Amino acid sequence: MSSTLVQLVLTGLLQGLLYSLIGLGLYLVFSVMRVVNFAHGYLVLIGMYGVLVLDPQNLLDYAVALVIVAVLAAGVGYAVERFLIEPGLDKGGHSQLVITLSLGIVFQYTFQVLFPDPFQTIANPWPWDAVTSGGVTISVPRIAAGVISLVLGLAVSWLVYRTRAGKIMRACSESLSGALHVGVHVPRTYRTTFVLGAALAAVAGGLLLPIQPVSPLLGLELTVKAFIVVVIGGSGALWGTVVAGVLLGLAEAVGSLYAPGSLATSLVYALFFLVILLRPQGIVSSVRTA
Amino acid sequence: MTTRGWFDTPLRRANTIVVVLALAVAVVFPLFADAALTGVGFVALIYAIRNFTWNIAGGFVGLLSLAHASAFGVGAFAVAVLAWGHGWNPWLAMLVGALAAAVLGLVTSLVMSRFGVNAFFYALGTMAITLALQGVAASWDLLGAATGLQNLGAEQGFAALQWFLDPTPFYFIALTFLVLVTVGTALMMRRTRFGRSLPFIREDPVMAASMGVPVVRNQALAMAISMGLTAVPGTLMAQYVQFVSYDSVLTLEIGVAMLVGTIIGGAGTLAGPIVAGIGIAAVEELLRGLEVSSANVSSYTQIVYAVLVIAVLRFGAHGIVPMWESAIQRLSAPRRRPPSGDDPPLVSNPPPVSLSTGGG
Amino acid sequence: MLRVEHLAKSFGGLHVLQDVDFDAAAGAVTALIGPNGAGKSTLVNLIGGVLRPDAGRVLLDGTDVTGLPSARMFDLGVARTFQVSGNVAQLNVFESVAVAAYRQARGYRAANAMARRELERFDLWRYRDERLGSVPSATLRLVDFARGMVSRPKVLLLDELMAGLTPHEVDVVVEQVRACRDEGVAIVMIEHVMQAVQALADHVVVLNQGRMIASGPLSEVSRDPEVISAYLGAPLGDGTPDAGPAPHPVAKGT
Repeated sequence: MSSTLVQLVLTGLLQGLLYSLIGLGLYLVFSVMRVVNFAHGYLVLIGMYGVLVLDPQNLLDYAVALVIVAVLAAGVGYAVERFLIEPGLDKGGHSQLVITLSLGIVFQYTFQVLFPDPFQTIANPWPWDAVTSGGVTISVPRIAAGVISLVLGLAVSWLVYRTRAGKIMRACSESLSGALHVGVHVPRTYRTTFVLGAALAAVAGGLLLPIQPVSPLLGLELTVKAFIVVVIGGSGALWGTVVAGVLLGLAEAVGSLYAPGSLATSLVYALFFLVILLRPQGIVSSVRTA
Repeated sequence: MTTRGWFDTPLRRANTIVVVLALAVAVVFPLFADAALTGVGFVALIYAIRNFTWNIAGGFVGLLSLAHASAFGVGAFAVAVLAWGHGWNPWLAMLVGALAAAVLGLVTSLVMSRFGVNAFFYALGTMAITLALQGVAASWDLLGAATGLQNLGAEQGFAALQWFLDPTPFYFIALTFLVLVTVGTALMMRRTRFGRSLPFIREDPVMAASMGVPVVRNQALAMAISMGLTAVPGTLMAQYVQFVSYDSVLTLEIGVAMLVGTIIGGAGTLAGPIVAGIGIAAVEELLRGLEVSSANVSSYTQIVYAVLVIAVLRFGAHGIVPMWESAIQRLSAPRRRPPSGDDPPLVSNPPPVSLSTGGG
Repeated sequence: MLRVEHLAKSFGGLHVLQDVDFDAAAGAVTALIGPNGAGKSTLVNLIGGVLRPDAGRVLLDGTDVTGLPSARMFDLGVARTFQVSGNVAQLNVFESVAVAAYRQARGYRAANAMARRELERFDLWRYRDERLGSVPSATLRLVDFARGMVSRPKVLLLDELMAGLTPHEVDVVVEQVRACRDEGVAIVMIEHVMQAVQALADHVVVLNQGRMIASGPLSEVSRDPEVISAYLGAPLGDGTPDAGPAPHPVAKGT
């Protein structure tokens, strides 16, 4: 393999791990609550803009900033779940879909008004810039983002599969009536899940910022990418989401070799459309929209 | 049913009065407005038209489509490429755009049905279509790529569908189209087997099929009609602005605006999408009047839009027009009770098809 | 008129129906009875074209119509009612009858005239502007029934038409069903309300756990030991509803 290709694959892999983390939050909310959150990408933006405003100058500041944006997004997530999602859960219909879609618009244009300058970023908070070996150079923020995403992903799967809270979440996911029967406080579980998903999204945003400048339009793009991850990953298991994220990252990296800019984006969306057609049963049967 | 007049019930009387008044105001509006304000009126009508045409598939049949943004774009690009670029008559280009958008809608719907895609994936899939087409427009020189296409023609008049200084003709063309489409849709929903079957497909496709309704075919047909008609405001807007680009006429925001606009007004009603379209244009104009910096006007409008739709859905309402109808019914309730006598008027659950479709 | 031959259906290895075989004659009422989970609704969905059978055939006037989609079955003359109408609460009474009338009617006026006649016949005309969700349940059943009859079907499938009705209401609906039977329609009804089965059924098919355990006139079938044990010893035909459907409407499968 040429060093360019190695570079691309490594970059794609690391970026993919970050996508997995973003997709993970969406997946949790979807599988536990049967709610499709069209505003998920904007929770990532909360993390990005949050860190941008805090503008950390060193690693310690950066770590603190990540915690702050996680808490902030958790608070936003709580409010959204408690006051917008939860009241309509038993109504069915398309209302959840349209509410989260509209919420995404509110976020996007609020960011637009608050941060009129497009494509802002922060200085590299890590003490090193890049790792170079054999003609391959990978920036340290990118490596850190990938590794931290992986660690967080593992932590979440530990939470979901090994703890009592995770057991309750899975119970709600598998059978709502069953969970109710054994006395699970379902609304509380929903809130926990949504808050967790929001916090993960914000941390992912914080990790993404040193790699990719933030603009309000990024929210939609990230929402779509999170959907791609969840749809490809299917409803089977958490690790499906991780695999799908990595696949998306790799596809994007390799695709950028062959198709320029917006056409590459088109290809991603066309592929996404095919995925929707070919494996809707992944999450189709259980979505709370029909 | 067949014998219903315009003044039979209090609601019908109220609706008739409002419709006549609104039409009268719409017709005389340009006489009292300057060119700039008439232009605002034109844009309001474009919003109303595209909400209305979205509603045919989205409201009556319940297909949550974001591909309609593509239809709007197809209409705009059709006139830009064919008329501005190749000297076609713009009216012909408009027709071609509408047909192309209709085919896009037909194929989209058939493919989605073939693979058994549900409502959530319908929204996602149609979103993917719009974003993919936007990417194509952004990179293809024929469609202006990143810089967009400009109308450099100098011809004016009805045949050229172009007036450089006075937007009044544009205004009346849009108004005429809106009235025609509204009357046509009302007749279709009330008088044809196809139209009457649409609410049944939305509420319960299994039951609709057991009533002899070809569900897949009618969904596809509704999408074709709906998207084909959505191309027309796209063409008109392009002619009016004389500029199109991937980020002015083919954006997801346009699709979302149609969807949320219709829901604010009342999905599945005839008047709702129109009321919401004109209302949102008025909000835009108000914000401009408040001298908000121009870049932020559309941001604030979008936020108002989205907050309104969240409020409508969150508080269990069905939109402006259903709220109006239940208010009128409540006001007149003591005098006219429903025949069963045991159910109070339909406050929480207004009929899906109302105002002049009669059926509901 | 309608013939069902060796019909079978399973969902993911679970045999919901096996080898079901019966005739429904024109101008007669065939009742499908059996405990919950016996497969009655699946059977109606197979005949109505909502589901495709794994094996067996459905014949209409001797023509094989197995697995045709439900809109096509309706065109051929198989109409049906639904057990639960929760989804359609917003729809209009008149429209729901008028849309079905298009099977026979050409055009708007003809369909409306047919719908009007049908609604008047069932004494429902005054409900024409109501939504399906706002009429009393007995009325809703009649609207459903009128919707089936307006298409002048050859076969009418009634899925628990009497569920939740008072004995008096059952009497009213029974009269209407009888009148339609006398017009020569082959009526197939799933019914838990024994009062109605007694009053109407010319032929009874008993299903238990997906198998047909008895078939014949009610008097004969009700003495069948297997039938009695399937009903856990509850005597048939005492006029009380047996193990009826769950009190809460269950979402229809799609």
